[in-house]
Amino acid sequence: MRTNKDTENLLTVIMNLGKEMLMCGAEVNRVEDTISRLCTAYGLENAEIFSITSLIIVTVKDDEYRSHVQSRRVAGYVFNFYRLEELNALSRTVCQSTPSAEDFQVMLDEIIKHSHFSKLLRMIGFILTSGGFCLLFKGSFTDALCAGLIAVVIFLIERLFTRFAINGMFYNFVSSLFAGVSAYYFANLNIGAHLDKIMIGNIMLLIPGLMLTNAIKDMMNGDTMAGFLRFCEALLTALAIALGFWLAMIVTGVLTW
Amino acid sequence: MVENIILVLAAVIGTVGFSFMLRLRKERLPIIAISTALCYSIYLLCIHFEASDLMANFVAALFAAFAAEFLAKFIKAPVTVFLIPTILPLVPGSSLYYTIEAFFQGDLKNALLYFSALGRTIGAILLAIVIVNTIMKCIRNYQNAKNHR
Repeated sequence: MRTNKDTENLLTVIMNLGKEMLMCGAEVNRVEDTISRLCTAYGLENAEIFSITSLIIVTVKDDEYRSHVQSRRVAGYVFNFYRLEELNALSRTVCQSTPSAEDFQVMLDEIIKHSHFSKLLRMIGFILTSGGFCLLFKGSFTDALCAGLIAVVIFLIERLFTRFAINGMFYNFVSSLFAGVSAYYFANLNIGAHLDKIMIGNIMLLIPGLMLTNAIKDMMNGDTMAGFLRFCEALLTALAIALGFWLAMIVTGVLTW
Repeated sequence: MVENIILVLAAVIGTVGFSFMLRLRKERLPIIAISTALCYSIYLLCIHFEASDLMANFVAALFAAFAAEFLAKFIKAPVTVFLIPTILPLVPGSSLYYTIEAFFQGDLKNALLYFSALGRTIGAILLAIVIVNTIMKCIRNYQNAKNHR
């Protein structure tokens, strides 16, 4: 027989897992599905789960028909597919073996602790992405080199902004501004040949592709509200990129006042 | 031919870089590199046989989505992990850039042209993802129903 406290503890762990998944970049539908499976596995039948991109609410009924409600506010995403995979595997094993809430929490903490990614590799990732896509959109090798150099600075901007918790929209704006200005000077000093190709390579770093895909997937699964919120986020990100580049064009004098 | 090989290589380099950005597990990199190379080769092949850019994107995205679904089933990891990196080279970053540039330079005609190209390409890719997603879901539901009978 499970006491009230046990049920609450169990629900807490399950929702912690759901929140982590959402923050790693899972779509809302997957999070709801995972929570519902876990609740069923622990014998909490008829769980009512509602989730949008920034909030999860779950109501379950225990054996004595008492309702337990918990909610989680989800703020800020850090895309981490390694952690997402681990969390997914964890939810599979937990559904099979149903450990106690304490053990479950320990396993969850363990995953969160060890699923960090080396910063150096991420910086190399930034360089490879912008360089590779610069080449893909028919830039020259020197263009790719310039794009790679700018990507290093964009990486540093990202590090700085996440440390001081400045919002993501402003990060996109500043990165795009910086990329625009430096791409202009690279092209003007004849180091890179094409301003547009360098810029495209760097835009691929900021493009909200994952958000957009998740938005459409959620909408197609009938989660119109969650999908729409994410869609707006993606549009705003694109807008921030555009505005940053607009300011860069004014700073470098391509556009007049 | 050499040009196309360079393009495919560039796509793979870009995707591997983006996988690092998404903090993807390193063990997944080889398989993602292969599926990306195949996906972009299909795109180039479609262009070679004079398909429109839109159709080429659609076919390549169909392939990428199917590959991601099967890999996810085989390796038991979320579909997103394979789908996002594989599909990335198709994302029309250049159209986005040229739209912004033309728009702020007051060249509304070209801005609209690039914007519609951007919208169409993204639409084609998303449509492919949705179609594959729906098909796979139908298969899964059918199998579940059969197991429970």
